[in-house]
Amino acid sequence: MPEPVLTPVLTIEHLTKKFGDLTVLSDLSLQVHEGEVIVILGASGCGKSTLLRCINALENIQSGEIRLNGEIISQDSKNLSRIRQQIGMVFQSYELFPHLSVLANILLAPMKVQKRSRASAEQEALSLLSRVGLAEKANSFPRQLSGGQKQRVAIVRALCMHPKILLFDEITAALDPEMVREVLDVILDLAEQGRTMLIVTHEMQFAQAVADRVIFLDDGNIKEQGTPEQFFNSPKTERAKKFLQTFTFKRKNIKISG
Amino acid sequence: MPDLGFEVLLKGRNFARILEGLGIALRVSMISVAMSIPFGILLGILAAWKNIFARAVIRCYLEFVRIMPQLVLLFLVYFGTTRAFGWNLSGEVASIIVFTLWGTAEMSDLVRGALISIPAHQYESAFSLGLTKSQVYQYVILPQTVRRLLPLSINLITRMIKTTSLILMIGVVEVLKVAQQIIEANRMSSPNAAFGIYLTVFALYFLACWPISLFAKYLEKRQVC
Repeated sequence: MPEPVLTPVLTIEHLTKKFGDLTVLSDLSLQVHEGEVIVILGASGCGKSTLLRCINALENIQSGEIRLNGEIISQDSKNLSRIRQQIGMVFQSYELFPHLSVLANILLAPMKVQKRSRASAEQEALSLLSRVGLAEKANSFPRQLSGGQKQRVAIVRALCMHPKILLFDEITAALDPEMVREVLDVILDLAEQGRTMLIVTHEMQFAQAVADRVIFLDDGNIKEQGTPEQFFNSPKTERAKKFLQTFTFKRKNIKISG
Repeated sequence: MPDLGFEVLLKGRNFARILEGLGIALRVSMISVAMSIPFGILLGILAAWKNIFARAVIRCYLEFVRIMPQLVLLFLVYFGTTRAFGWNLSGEVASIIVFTLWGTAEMSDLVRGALISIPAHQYESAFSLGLTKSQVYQYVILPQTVRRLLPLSINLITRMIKTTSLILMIGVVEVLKVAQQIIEANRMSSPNAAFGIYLTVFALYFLACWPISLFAKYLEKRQVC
């Protein structure tokens, strides 16, 4: 794996996000460095997905600051479109555009937003598709693809915009178990290439394998962070220990019949 | 074979008159359709907005037009406006007004339904690719809305054509009225004409609406998503 260079791509300072009276994220600060793969863990409802959505300005925030390479990300930004082009996001629900073919899904933003020529965008799209094993699906429609295939197309669609950072929001949560692997393999491949990524997932073994840094969210803030070895083998907080226990299974009360 | 009175069709200009009657029915419905679609789209977009006041007004309008039988609406506009405001509307104009009011209401509901059926994550994934708001609508939301809307609005068109058979009640001489006149005029010479003439009217309505409904079916089958 390439050695991460220590320049922050993304800086989050004192971020607070509320839905009405409910505080989802409170005073959260985080720096993401170039080439770093961060896995965000936490119980459901702890604000993991909200954090990713805030980074893409899909949510308005109540206080704090999010900066991508120094540029403020907020829903009021004048050049929101230009900032979002630099942030690739893949969601849990398959969100390909159903009326467009796989190729048209991928080419829409490069051609309409970045005004690139069809030839160059198409060449890149096809080479990325073949990289994720879907070259022959370029002209299929989303309804003809399996869930795992759709997610791989969604990843390619995000990559084709040349984003500075990639956000993955539980992208395998809605997949059948046998399709999880094909999607996670693509992300592992991206990590190998030195992409900067923020990943929310419930796949613990995958998290352990892909992460440079694990962030454990609880009560809207970072409760604990560290390398995957530290976090998974010797979690410091009670909360994290308890969380990790929910993924291990042991039979209690094995009766010794006498 | 019993005498169905088809020979009456060949007398004088009878068949041509029936076709002219059909022409009037189609003219009324097509003008109404042509006005209902843009008005309905506009109103449907407003109804899909979050503004509670606009939604309430549109809802009231929609329910009122839907609950009232079309015949009552026709009487209200044709006779009512004459008494109340002294307007002297021709039957055809009154029909077009009523059919446009009705078509706009139905169309707005179809548009509203199609718009709110596009899931929120379609907007979000488009925004997150850096598309601007107008690009999101142009390339992602509207194409999907139109696809959902096409078969539904074509069904509405056939319903509007069929319902024009009511406008003879306010004195518009459309296809059914012409048929009645022909039957009346030939009551002595061809007492059986009613069957043949009405069968012809049936066939004409069928020929006008069937291709449209086939087209709707075709679009539904071809529909993406």
